[in-house]
Amino acid sequence: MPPSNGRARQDTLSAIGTHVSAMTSRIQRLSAAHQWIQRALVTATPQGLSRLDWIARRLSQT
Amino acid sequence: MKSQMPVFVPSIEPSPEHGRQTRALAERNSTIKAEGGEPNIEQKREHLEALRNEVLDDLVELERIRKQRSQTSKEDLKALDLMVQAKAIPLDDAHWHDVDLFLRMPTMVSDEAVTSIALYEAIIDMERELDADAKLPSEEQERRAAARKQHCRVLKDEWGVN
Repeated sequence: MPPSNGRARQDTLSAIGTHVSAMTSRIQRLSAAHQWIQRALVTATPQGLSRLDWIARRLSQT
Repeated sequence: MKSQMPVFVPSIEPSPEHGRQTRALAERNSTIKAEGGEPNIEQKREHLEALRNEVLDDLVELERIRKQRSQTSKEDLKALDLMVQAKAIPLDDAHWHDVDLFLRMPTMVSDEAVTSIALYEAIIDMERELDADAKLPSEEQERRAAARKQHCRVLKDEWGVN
């Protein structure tokens, strides 16, 4: 294999790695946002409060 | 012909080590390059395999989000939407962004799945090139390529990607 082939492969590999890493970070951000909201949504609304008020209260407390 | 390729079964939950192995191998290969050398085929393969596993773990996480988000009630979504419009509670910008992300989650998840699968394809293309560089028998190269393509088709079907 000519050396230039190997270098080109390594460059491509590095580029793929950069893209995968960026994507993983974005997905982790999505996941964190999702979990934060989900924690507020799984709780039942106490009597006398609207769902909106309750979710707002839960989110502002966390 | 019976496939002897390993079956790529993603883990149920993303590993806590998610991405760490990939970063370590990328660093190792960069160091080899910085010292004037070049990672050999096995070292590149190892890095690619870690990348492939990271992408598959990402897809598992996306599926988990997709499933959970689909169970969110319309009432809760409406409440969150109203909250964003009114901005009636004191949240910092990052948390408002989180609420916004949650509301757009189906699109975001779908977009990231498309990106994941495109990267998966790039990874298996490169694995095919490395098989050729390693001068594997052509029949073996074809067998491996077919197994990888088959798995890619399964992923595309799962996510409705053409």
